[in-house]
Amino acid sequence: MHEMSIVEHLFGVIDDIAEKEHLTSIQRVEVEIGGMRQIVPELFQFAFDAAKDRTIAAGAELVMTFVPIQATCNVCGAVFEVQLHEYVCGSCGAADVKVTAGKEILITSIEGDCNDN
Amino acid sequence: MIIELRQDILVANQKMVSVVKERLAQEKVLMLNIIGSPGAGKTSLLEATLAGLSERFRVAIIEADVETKRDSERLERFGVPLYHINTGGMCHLESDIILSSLDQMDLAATDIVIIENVGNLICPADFDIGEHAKIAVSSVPEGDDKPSKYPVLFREAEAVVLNKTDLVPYTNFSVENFTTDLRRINGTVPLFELSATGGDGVQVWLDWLIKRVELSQSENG
Repeated sequence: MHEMSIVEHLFGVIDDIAEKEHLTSIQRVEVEIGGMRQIVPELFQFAFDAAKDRTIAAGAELVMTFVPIQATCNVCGAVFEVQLHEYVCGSCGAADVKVTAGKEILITSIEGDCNDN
Repeated sequence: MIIELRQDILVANQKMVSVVKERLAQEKVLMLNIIGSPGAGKTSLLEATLAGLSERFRVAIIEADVETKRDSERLERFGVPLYHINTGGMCHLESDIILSSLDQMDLAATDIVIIENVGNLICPADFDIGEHAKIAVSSVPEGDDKPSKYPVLFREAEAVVLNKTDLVPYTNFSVENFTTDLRRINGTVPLFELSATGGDGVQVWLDWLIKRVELSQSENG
């Protein structure tokens, strides 16, 4: 259940941004999660909803975008999407491949109100 | 207002990872992160490793458990520096905890730090703690489907240990299935089939480990 720990970190980042941007409430948080992060969307949503209570993001909607795992073959150079965690080159069959995307764990957008105007 | 950004959610952990890595590089210390299920034999592997390695290298151990100090007690007889962490329910280690353990160590008098992570195949794989290599430990009684079911750990591992091979005749475990699945996930990872308590295969693992330490020491000049 590392979703809970990651959401704790997410709220640490949200707090920092909210303070810097003088946000008074947050309506929407967007995150980007790579396929290698083993995040279960329902658990992440559950953890987010549990953590947002009594914060300025109490009414916030969470939007998750999942990034497929991508790899480059170290033998023939082919770039391919890793399906079902099969890290084998579809072109030449080599198992010597480098993962180039899929480890993302990013906050990409926050929508909120600020008290500056 | 909408704030667009691309900020790593685990930034706080990654900051501490940088400090950990810097600290280790300064003192030319190799740090390994042992990850496996509860009961896979992580502590037994450590016992076999310490028995074979502690005269050659200066080893320090970080033992993490959700509860109890039993694993640390098992390792006390080796007389190596031992740092115990009770995570109190947390299913993995993070880099700030590792940093505070390193703070207590005499790193200048250490060649290798071996961390026994919390018994779990998912969460520890997702948190960088500043280690040079993750070592995945799986064991025969768990079944041969572990690489397929927990691919990320086996993908991220720099070495895989299959423990308790002496039990193969008493189970329906297929070493071939395990290996075939592992190769689909990580085609180049070295696999060590051994019995940490019986001793079979342990020397091959130790030889690899010794080379790994020497490689890291020569890279660090």
